[in-house]
Amino acid sequence: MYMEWRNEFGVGVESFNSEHKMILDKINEMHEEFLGKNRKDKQTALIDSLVKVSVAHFKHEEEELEKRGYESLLAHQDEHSNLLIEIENLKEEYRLGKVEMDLEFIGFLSNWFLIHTTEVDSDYKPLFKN
Amino acid sequence: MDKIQSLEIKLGDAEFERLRKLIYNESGIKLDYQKKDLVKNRLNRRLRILSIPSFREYFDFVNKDKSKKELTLLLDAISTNFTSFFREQVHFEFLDKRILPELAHNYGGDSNRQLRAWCAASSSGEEPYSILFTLLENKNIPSTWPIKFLATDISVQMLETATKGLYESKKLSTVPKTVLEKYFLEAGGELPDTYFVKDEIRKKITFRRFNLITPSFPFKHKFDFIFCRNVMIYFDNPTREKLVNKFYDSLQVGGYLIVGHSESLAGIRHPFKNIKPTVYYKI
Repeated sequence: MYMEWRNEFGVGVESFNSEHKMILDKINEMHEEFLGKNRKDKQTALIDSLVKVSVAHFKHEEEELEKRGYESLLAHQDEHSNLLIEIENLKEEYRLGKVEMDLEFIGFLSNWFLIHTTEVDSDYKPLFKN
Repeated sequence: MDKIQSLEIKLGDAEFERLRKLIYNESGIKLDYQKKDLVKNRLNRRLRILSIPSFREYFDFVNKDKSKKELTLLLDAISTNFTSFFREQVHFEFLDKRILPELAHNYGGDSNRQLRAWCAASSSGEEPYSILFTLLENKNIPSTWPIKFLATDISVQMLETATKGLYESKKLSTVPKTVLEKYFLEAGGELPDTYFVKDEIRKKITFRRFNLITPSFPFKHKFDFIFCRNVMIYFDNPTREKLVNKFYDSLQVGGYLIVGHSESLAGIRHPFKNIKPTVYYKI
């Protein structure tokens, strides 16, 4: 598998962890498709579905953080919206044939996931310690 | 209470478009339409502080300000930086375990060789200081090598903060204890729970204002490595492409460009070799 689940991707919140797993699954599927048939329609569908699960997760996370008065909410929201904007750009470049869903493309997504879960999300963990 | 303070100032599409163009022309920062609400919310605070009742008047104010001070405050307001010491830790590990040993291996014979580094988005200083601490703690680099470290940012306010090197202890949670003890001093007195980077350490960094969309870079010597992290996220592809190629020209052969996790260079034409996500090598 391209990127195995690690405990450090979890943030101590069951529902967030499930959503993180869904995002990671999509990235792994992209890698499988890259190694396999490299189908354009499949890859486009995977980008859309990654955006869908990410948007849902970000919304859920931001709502919970806002409820708890998270200090760095604005900066955290920025991180989320920046990723979505970046994926939109990549999707457009991909559609125009300027970019392929190759290791650089997938590497960007997996690295974002790794840094965001282990360094950005980890900052809010104390808010959820019951 | 002043009526202005109790009402949110609305940002119309046309006004947003004018601000977008101004910001883009001055700094290369591309404000996506998705960011309109964010811009409105963040800038409302500036308008209230300045007692300006509309975005139309705010635009005129920014445009007429020859000192560009309000422009940089505007940029600071719209690009919240989630910055911290040793953020994206893998980069500092890579610097310590790969970049610096390679330099030592390739140039160790020259005891006076200058080590040249550039942090191109220094923000409030956490990043350049983290790089500097890594350089100073590294066991491979000859201690005789002078360190020439340039840290730049478009924001004068950010540079002032970075130059002071003063940080509350809550911002230092990602600094290893040994580093804290070696390179920081407690401010004490009227600044409880605050530490500053020791004078002789701070002086090793040259902080300068610099706009990355400057058409050609003025540097006389090439750098060994450049960090430009989480800034290109705000640039469109043409701007990123120009910048990445200017970075390439500013690096020694064998030099590295490190970008942030927020930005992808996929689809950007450049001569670098992509070693791994965010790490680019000049062959």
